[in-house]
Amino acid sequence: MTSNIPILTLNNVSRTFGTFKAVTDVSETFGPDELNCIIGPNGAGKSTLLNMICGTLPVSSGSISFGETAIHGLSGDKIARLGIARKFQVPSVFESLTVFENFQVSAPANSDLAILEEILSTVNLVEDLDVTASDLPHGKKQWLEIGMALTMQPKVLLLDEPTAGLSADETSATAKFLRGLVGKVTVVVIEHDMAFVRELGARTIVLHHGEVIASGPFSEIENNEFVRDVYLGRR
Amino acid sequence: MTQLSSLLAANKTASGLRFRPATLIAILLILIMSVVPLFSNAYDLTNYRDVLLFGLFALSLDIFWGRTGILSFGHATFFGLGAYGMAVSSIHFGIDPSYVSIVGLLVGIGLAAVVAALVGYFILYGGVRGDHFTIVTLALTIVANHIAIGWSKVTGGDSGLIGIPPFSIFGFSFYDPMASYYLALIVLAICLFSAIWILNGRLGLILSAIRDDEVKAKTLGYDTKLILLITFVVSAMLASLAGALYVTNTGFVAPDMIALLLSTEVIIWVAVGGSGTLVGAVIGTAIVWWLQQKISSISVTAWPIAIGSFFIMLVLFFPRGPGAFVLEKVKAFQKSREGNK
Ligand SMILES: Nc1ncnc2c1ncn2[C@@H]1O[C@H](COP(=O)(O)OP(=O)(O)OP(=O)(O)O)[C@@H](O)[C@H]1O
Ligand SMILES: [Mg+2]
Repeated sequence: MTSNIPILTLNNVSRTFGTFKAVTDVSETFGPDELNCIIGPNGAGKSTLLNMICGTLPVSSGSISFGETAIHGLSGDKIARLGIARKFQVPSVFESLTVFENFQVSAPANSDLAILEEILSTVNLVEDLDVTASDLPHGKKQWLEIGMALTMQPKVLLLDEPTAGLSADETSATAKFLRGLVGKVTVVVIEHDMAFVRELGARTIVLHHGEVIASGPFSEIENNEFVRDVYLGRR
Repeated sequence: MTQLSSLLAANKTASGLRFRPATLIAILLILIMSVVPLFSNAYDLTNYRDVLLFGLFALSLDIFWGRTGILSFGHATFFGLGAYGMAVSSIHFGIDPSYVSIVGLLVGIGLAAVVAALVGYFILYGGVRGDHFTIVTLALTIVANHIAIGWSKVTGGDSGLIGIPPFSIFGFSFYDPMASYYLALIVLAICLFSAIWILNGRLGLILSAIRDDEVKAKTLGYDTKLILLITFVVSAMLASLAGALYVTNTGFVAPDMIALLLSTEVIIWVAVGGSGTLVGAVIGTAIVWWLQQKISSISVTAWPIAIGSFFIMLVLFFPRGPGAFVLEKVKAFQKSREGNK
C-alpha cells in the first residue's frame, strides 16, 4: 500500500533567472526507496531542479511536497532535517576539516559509531580518517560527500553527477553501490555518462531546455527518437 | 572492524577534550599570570590588569572572527557599550553603591547583546558576509562614536564621564590593584577556558564548517544564520564585559573607548597572536602592548606609524596573521620538497 504513495512530488515546478527560463513546469513523482535518474545536455536545468528540491534555490512557481508536507519555501536546513540529503555537482566538503570531522559535522549529534564505521568503509575512506579534506584527490572528495549524505540517514538522496572525475572502474563501482540502495532510500541521480546510466537501469527523466521531454525505464528512453536527436544535437 | 571501532572511539573523545598545544599554552599563561603580582609593584600591576582586560576583549573578537572567518570592525562598539553602560548606570541614577557594579555590568552587557542581536539579525539574515559585513560593522562603530560624542547629556560628550566607582560585589570592593588584577585574571581565565572547551567541541567544528561552505552546512540541516547570530551576540557580550570592567578600573569613560581606532587595535592584537587560536588573542594583546611601551619610549610619533604600517601589511600580505603566514610558507615549502622527490 504505502509504496504507492510518492515520497517526493513536483507539481509544475518552474524557475526563471530574469527572463531566462531554466526549469519549466516540471511535474514528477518519486516513489519511496526507488532509484531515479535525470539526464539532459549541459544547461538543461538539472542542477537547478535539485537546488529547488533541497531549498538552495526558491521555486519561481509550482509546488514540491515531501510525503504530505509542502517543502517549497522552507529553508534548506529545515528540508535537510526532514530527511533530504544532497551531494553537489562540484564536490562540496569542508576543506579545512579532516575526513572524520566532516563526518562528525554531517552525522546527527549522537550517531551510532557502528553505522559511521559501516559508511566509512562503504565509501572506502577508512584509511583516510585523519586526512584533511583539501588534501584528498577529486574522486575521494566525491565519495566523502556521498558518505556525508549517507550519515544523515536520509529518506531521499539527491546526487548531482557523482561520477564526474572518476575512473571507469570507480564509475561502475558507483553504479553497483547505487543499485544496492534500491529498497533502502529514494535516490535521484543526475548523470551525463550514458554507460553509467545504462548500468543503473533506473527510471530515467530527460530534461531539455528546462522541460521534461521523456521519462520512463532507461531501455525506453534509449530508443526514443526525440531524446536521441537531442543528444546528437539535432534539435 | 574492531580495530576501526577503537580508532573511531579514540577520535570521538579526542575531538571534545583533545589536549591541543593551545590548551596547554593557555594553562601555562594563566598560571604565570597568577604569580606575576608577587614580583610586580602596584603601578605595573594596574597596567597588567588593563592588558588582561584588553586580552579578554581580543578573545571576544577571536571567538567570532577566528571561527567564522567573518571580520567585525564593530567590536569597539560593544566594548564601548559595556563601558558606557557601566558608567552611565553608576553615575546618573544614584543606585545603591552595594550593587551598582552589578547593575552597571548587566546594563552594559545587556545593551551590547541587544545591539548585536539587532544589527546581527539584519545583516546576517540579510545574507551579508565577508567584506560587506566588515564595512557595515565599521559603520556601526562610527555611528556609535557619534552618539557617544553628541549625546552629551547622558554620555558627557567629548570629555566623557568621571567618577565610576571600583568594581564591588557583596560589599567587597576591588579598589586595590592586587584585587582588581585578580578579578580581571579570574574573569579572563573563566572566559578563555570556556571558549576553548566549547569551540574545541562540536560547535567549533560546525563553525569551521560554516566558514568553509555555508550552503553545504545548510543542506546538512544546520540553521547557519542562527548559529552565526548567536556566536556574534555572545562575542559582543564578552567584549562589553571587558569594557564594563575596564572603566571600573580607570574610573572614567571617554569616546575613544567606542571608536574606530580601538576596533582596529583589537583586530591587530588578535592577528598578531594568530586568529582562531583563542589564547593567541591574549598573547597578541600583551605583545603589542609591550611593543607599544618600547617604541613609544624611543619616540612618541613612531608608534602610530609602526602600528599603521603593520595594519597595512596585515591586510595585504597575511590576512590570517603573521603566525599563520609563516606556517603556511613552511607547509608550502615542505609540500614542494615532497613534490620534487
Ligand atoms: N544562479 C543562476 N543565475 C543565472 N542563471 C543560472 C543560475 N543557475 C543556473 N543558471 C542557468 O540555468 C541553466 C540551467 O543550469 P543548470 O546548472 O541547472 O544546468 P545543468 O543541467 O545542471 O547543466 P550541467 O550539465 O552543465 O551541470 C543554465 O543555462 C545556467 O546558466
Ligand atoms: Mg548541473
